[in-house]
Amino acid sequence: MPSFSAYLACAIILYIIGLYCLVTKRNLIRLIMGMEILVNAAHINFIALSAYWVPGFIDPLARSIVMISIGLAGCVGAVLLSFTVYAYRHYGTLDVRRMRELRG
Amino acid sequence: MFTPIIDSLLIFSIITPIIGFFTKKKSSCLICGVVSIGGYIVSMAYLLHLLPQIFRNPIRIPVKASLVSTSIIIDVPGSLMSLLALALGLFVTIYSIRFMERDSGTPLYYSLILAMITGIVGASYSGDLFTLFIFWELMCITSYVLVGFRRNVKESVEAAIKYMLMSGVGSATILFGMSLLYGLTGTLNLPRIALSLKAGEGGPWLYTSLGMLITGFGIKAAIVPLHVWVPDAYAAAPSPISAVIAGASTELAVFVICKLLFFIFPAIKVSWIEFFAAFAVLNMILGNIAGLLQSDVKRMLAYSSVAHIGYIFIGIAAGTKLGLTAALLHIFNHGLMKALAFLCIGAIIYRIGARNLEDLAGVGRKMPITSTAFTIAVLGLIGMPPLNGFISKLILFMSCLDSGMLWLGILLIIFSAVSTGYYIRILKALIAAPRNEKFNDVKEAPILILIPICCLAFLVILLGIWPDLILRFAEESSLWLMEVERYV
Repeated sequence: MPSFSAYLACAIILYIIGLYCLVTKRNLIRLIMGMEILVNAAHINFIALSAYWVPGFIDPLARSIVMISIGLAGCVGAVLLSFTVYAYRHYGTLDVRRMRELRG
Repeated sequence: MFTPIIDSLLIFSIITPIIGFFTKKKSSCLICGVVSIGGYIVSMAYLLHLLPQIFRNPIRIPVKASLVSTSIIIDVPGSLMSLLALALGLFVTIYSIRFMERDSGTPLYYSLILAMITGIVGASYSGDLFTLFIFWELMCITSYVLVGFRRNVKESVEAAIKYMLMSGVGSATILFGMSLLYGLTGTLNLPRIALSLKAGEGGPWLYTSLGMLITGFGIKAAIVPLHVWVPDAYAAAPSPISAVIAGASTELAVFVICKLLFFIFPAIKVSWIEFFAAFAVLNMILGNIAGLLQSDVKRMLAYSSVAHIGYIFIGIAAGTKLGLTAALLHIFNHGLMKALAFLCIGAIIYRIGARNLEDLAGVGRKMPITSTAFTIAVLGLIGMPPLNGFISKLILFMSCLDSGMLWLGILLIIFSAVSTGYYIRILKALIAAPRNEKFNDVKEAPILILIPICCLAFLVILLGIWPDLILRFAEESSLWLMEVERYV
């Protein structure tokens, strides 16, 4: 069984991957995927930490927050994807760097 | 479920679209608007009824059906914030009955505003991080949809996407910070976290968690490197939505930052005081200088919002009880003033459909009540003596003197003077410009738009000449936030 710090390292690496994806990618769909990776990093951290305090006991509080947060991430993803459809209709592309009507 | 304050908003948010489904399309905007006003009035009446009791003792609403105990604490600081949110929600709903009558899907619009106010009220009353996060996300998701509500307009879709991408990263960062805090203390309950952190020393993980929470909430609060969504979203959203986001949702983010800093992290106060002093200066510089360069009035007001967040951070950087009082007072006053300014510019957009300074020149003569109210809002934002902006800026300055940060106080005065530059430009375009031929058939805004504008203008003047009540409220709030032991 991997140690606790392995889970923490995994969560932090996932977080960095998500940030990297958000900074470098230009396609809106990929940006949405990057955001989901970010949220999942936090979920893994929560679950890993819930088993950290008392050996053999897993705190249900962390699980409930993770489950609700998965639902919320789904909502955010749905709203973002629906706006992606509208953006595609207006701009004819999913490249975020071409969406530059607003400036200043 | 929780408490009638939150429940009534939630219930009305569910029944409004159902009623809208059964009414004719032509009258649904009026009927659903009136129904959703009911939700705010019930909720506000109950809050005002509870207020004397709240001042004596916070009311706990434990939801202890299972092992998972979440809690809502109805306390004084939360009441300050939710009074602001409920008042703005009520005014904005009255305003939207005429403003949104040309749009489709208005029943959903009212339902989304109600849900957003529910999120703000719930997050300001939250007693643990779990509840805080859920209500925070409720507010975020509804505000994304509201910013992009006119989905056939190119710029509003673009602004919504920018806003969503940045704010989504913020929410994920908040969740990560919360998980670290949970790992450090083993609980999510705010008073218990505060007590268990008070004893221990601040390790590197505590600083990481603090940094992540500040970054996450700071995206919503428009701390300077993270403010890029603000001008786009405020300019592209419908004006009532700009008013409620600038007046309540950004203020909630600052309020939550205050609550976390003074409630959970007072042990490592030395490290965050200097940080916030630096960001106050950055916010003031960027907000005021960028405001000078704009020609779009809504973008100008958005940058002035960034600058005002800087003024609030001065109160946080002072770190004393007086500083926190000033910060909370300016949160309340700035919410009222900025909402008033956005509603007035919305009334002008409703009549002439333009928001560039050159296109507005001279319209003030044709819309005297709106432009008078706009003048009151702008003078309040500058900090003219009989208005509420003056009171809170004065107390911010006093708190700087009190904690030996005279340079910050002097910067506050200098940048208030700089900001006058662009506020006066708006006033000059509105009032001083000569009569323009093309506005000959422009009329004063309709009465339903004027009612909320006049109420807010009255509040801005009233809280300026008679600040005792709100000042006592803010003082009591800061007392509650500074003394964790009172919650246990």
